[in-house]
Amino acid sequence: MTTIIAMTVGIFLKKNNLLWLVLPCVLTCYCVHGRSFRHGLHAIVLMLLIVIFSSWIFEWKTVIIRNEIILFGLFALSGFLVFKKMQHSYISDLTYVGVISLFCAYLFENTIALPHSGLDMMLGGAIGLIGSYVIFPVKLYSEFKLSLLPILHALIEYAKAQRSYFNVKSNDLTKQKYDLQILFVASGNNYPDWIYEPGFNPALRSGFRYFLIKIERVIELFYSIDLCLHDEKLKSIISILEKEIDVVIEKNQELLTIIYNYFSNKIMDIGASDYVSDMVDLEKKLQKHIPLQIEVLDISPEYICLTSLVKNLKNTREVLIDMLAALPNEN
Amino acid sequence: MNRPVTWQLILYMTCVLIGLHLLKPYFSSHQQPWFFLSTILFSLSSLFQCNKKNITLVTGILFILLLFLITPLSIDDYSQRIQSISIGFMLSLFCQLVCLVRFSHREFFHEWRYFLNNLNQLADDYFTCLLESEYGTHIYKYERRIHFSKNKIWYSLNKMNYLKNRNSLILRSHANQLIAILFSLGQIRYRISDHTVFLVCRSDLQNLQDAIAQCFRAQSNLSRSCSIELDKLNKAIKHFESTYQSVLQVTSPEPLGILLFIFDLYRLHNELREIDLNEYSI
Repeated sequence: MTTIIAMTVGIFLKKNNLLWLVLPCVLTCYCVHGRSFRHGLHAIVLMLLIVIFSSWIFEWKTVIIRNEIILFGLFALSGFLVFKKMQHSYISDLTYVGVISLFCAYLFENTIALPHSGLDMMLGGAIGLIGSYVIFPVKLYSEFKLSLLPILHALIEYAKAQRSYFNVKSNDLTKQKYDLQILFVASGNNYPDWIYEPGFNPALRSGFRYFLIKIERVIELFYSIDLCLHDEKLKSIISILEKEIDVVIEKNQELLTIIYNYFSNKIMDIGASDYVSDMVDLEKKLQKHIPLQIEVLDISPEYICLTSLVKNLKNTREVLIDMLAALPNEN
Repeated sequence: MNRPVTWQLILYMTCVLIGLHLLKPYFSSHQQPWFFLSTILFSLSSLFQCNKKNITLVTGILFILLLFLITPLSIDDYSQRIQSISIGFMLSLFCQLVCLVRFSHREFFHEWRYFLNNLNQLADDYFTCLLESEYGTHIYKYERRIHFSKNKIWYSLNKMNYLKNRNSLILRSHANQLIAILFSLGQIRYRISDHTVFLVCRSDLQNLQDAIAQCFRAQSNLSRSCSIELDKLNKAIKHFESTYQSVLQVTSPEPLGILLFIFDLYRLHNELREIDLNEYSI
C-alpha cells in the first residue's frame, strides 16, 4: 500500500521516472520491519550515497572497465550473501539495499539526474518511513504471536509423544523432532529473529526476548528429556518412576496448552490444577530409590541418568511456570 | 538440485562470467544491462533453490516485472528486453547443467562436515557463556549468538534429511543424538547461578572447549580415525572431573548441575567414539 501511495505521489507530481521515488520507499519499508526509525534513515542515506557514487563512476570514459568492476562486485557480493545464507539482520538488510540500489543505478544510469533524483529518493524514503510507522504500522504483538503459535503447537505434540513413550516403548520421537526442525527451517523469516536485533522497539524488547529465550530453553530441555528416555542405562530402572514421570509430562503439556490458548484466543484458563504436588511426588520417589548423597550418586551412571531426567523435567516445569507468570493479564 | 560446495560455486560463477563475456558483443548497449541482470538473477535464484527457497525465483521475476512497469518504453524495447532476459536465463541454466549437477554425489559428506562445523560453533558459544563473566548482564547478546548457531544446525540437518546416501540413515541418527547431547550440555549455564564457580575451573573449561573443537574438526573427515583427539577429550574430561571432586563439589552451591555436565561430556565422548569406530564409505 505504501508503494501505491508513493506511485500516486509520483504521478501527482508529474515525475517522468518513478524509479527513484518507488525504490527507496520499498527498500525503507523492508528495512524498518520491527526495527527503529534510525535504521530506516540509515537505509535512505546508504541509497543516496550509492546514487551519488554511481553518478560519479558513470562519468568515467572507460565504459568496459567500469562495467566489469560493477558487475564483478555485484555478482561476488550477491553470491556471497546467498551462499552464506545470511540471516535477516541489520547488516544483511543494508547489504541487500546496497546491492539492489547499485543494480538499479547500473541499469538505469540515464535516469540519474542529480540533484532531482536525490530529492526523489528522500521523498520516497520519507513516504516509506511514514507509511511503516504512521499509516500502516507493523503490529509487532500480532506478528510475534503468530510466529510463536506453530512452535508452541509443535511442542505440545512433542510432549504428547513423550507421554506415549511409556505406553508404546518402541515409539521414538523422531517425527516430532523432525516437525520441530522443519518449523525452524521452513518458517525461515517467520521466526521472530528480529526480536534479537539491536534497535528493536525498547518498550517491547525485554518482554519479547524473555519469552523467546524461555521457549528456546524449553526446546533444549525437551531434547534432553528425549535423550534420557532413550538411554540404554535407564531402561532397567525407569519403571520405578514411570507413573510419576507420566503425570509430570502430562502437566507440562497442560501448561503448554494454556500458553498456546492464551496466544491464540486470549484465554487464560489455569483451572484448579496443581502444578507443584506432582513434582514433589516425583522427587520424593526419586530420593526413596536412589542415594541422597551426591558422592554416592556419582558411582552409578544409571542413577545419574535418572537424576538428569528428573532435573530436566523439573527445569521444564519451572520455565513453563515462569512463562505463564510473565503473561500480561488481558483483563 | 543440490547445494554446491565453495569450489563448485567458484567454478559456476566463473563459467557464468565467461559466458557473459563471450555473448556480450551480440547485444546492443541497451540490451546488455538486461542480459547481465537476468543472467545474474537467475544464477542467484538457482543457488537459492538449492537451499529450498523457491520463493526467491518468484521474487526475482517480480523484481524484473516491477522494473518493466516503472520504466515506460516502446514495444520494440520491450521485445528486445524479453529477448535479452531469455538468453540470460538460458546461459544460467546451461552453466548449472555443466557445473553443478555432476558434482553432487559427495554432497552428503560435505553437508555432514558443515553440520559438524555448526555443532562446533554451538559448543563454542555454550563455553563462551561459561567463560565470560558478563554473561549474566548481557544474556541477550549471548543467547542471540546461540540462537543463530542453532538455526544453522537446523538448516544443515534439514538438508541432510533430503540427501540420499548409503550411510545417511545412521549418520542422521548420530546427528540427532549429538544435537540432544549438546543441548543437554548447555543447560549448565542456567543451572549454576553463581558465575564465580566457573572462574575456579576456567583453565579446565578452556581445555574442554579446545578438545571438543579438535574432535569435531577431526570427525568431519570420516575416512580418518580421530582416536588421538578423542583421547585428548577423555583426558580433559577426567581432569575436569578431578577438579570437581576436589574443589567444586564442596565450593559450588549447585554441585548437581556440574555432575550432570560431566555426565553429558562423557555422553558426547562416547557418541563421537561410536561414530569413529564405524566405517563409512564416502
